[in-house]
Amino acid sequence: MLQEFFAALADPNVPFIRYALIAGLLSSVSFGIIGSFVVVKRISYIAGAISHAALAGIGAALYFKHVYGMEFLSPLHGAVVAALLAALIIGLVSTYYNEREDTIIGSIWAIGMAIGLLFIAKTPGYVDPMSYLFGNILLVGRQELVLILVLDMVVIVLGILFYHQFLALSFDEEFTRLRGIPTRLYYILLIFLVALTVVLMVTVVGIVMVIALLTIPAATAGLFSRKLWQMMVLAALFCALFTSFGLGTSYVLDFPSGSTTIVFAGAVYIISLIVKRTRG
Amino acid sequence: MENGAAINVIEVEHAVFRYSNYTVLDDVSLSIHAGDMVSIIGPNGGGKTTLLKLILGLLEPVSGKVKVYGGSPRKNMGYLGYVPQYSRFDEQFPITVYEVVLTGRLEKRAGFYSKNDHQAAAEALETAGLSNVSDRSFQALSGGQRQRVLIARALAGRPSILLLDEPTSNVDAAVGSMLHELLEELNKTHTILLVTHDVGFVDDITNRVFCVNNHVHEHPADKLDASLISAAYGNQMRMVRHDINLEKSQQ
Repeated sequence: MLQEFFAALADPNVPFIRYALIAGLLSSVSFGIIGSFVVVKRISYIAGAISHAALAGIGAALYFKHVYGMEFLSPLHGAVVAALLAALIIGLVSTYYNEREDTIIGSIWAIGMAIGLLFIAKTPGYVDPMSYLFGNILLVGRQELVLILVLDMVVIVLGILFYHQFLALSFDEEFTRLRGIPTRLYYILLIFLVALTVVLMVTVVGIVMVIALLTIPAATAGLFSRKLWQMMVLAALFCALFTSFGLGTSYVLDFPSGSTTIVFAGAVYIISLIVKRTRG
Repeated sequence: MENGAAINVIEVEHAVFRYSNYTVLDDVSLSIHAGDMVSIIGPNGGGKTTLLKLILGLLEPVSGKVKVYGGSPRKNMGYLGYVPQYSRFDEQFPITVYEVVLTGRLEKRAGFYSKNDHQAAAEALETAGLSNVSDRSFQALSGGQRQRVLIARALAGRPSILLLDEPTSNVDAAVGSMLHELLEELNKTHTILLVTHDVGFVDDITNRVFCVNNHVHEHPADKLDASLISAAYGNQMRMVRHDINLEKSQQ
């Protein structure tokens, strides 16, 4: 069974499986880093809102591509813009304005999806929103792979460069501010990195399940880590394992890859929790 | 340190602070000299923590001035070492004692900690008596140990003033006396400000007591008597006089 999968990987006629595997492995590194920050800073709901808001950008990109013939536009371009915009709004509201943060987050979540679906509905030809919501490996082409690599590098470099600032910010924001660190700026930068990371995985597991792939590997890794960087390394490995396994199994059994990945990840997390509890 | 020529390391002049339309601190003035061990006492909601945050520069007064070493708290924050309550930290955060203390050396620039930073962190751990647990997980420690880790983190920045928020809340008597000794030792080299509701904890080591209840009054540290308690907690408080035994006096 597994041979089939490896044969498909090597087959030059079906590059999309190879692309999907590479996309999953590449983005696992930034998912490990940013997913760990998201889990320890407890902002997974922000990641959820950003990923759903990305649909607005995906829809807009598809619309402009087909209606105005902007052939260079890829749905991923739209996703990057919409995710960063959503991140900026959430970041500004939660740091500078005295609004109820969860209300803003919930609104962005829903409004983003609504705008995306409107654009998709008005795009000529048939576009299946399901592909974006639940993932479709056919969406990753050579062009997307390059963009994924670039985003991945940006997230990894900034994540490592500002590791200590982000760690301190997550652990004790007030004290970090007293060390002269512009914490609001760093918080917004962190949410930007969350936005880029979310976009990386949208094509593989889909908008709805991004949040699971961001938090489950990190939460599983957290069970076995005493330090944040250990959690990140482990989370990246778990993420790579989950996406590769999900892709392989979905190919062999003809299951949707996103759902397969998430169910497998969830199972490993629950088993890890039980193992951890029973061993004390 | 009790002479008039002492250096004022902290000066608060007619400071007013409001949350929307509730005035927490009204026309507060005080000055703290180098080497003082000050305790700030008062009822909940009286403005103790607000006063501490004004001095730290985390809050700005609506009117009046707060000066640290003659400049603004934000400008001179390097002199200040803040020790919050340990109980407000996330129980699941993956971080070791050493890493917590290193954050006391954090700088604006990106990158890694220097040799000097590591040395300062190691010294701070030594001072706080934590060298043997430096590689342990922060959340695995007892409350008293965690409180000392936060003191070490403040010390790592090599401040000259330490500001502690309720260091003895949620710790038992044995741990309290250990903290007491540590603070007494640190007071030889640092000015110390202590927000506390635990008057008994500090009465023998503090040389000044400020009572905060919207206004600030200074009380002589050697006369912690009924007038001070009622000023601090309002008139509803009854004092338990352990020094008088009624049964015996009635006989």
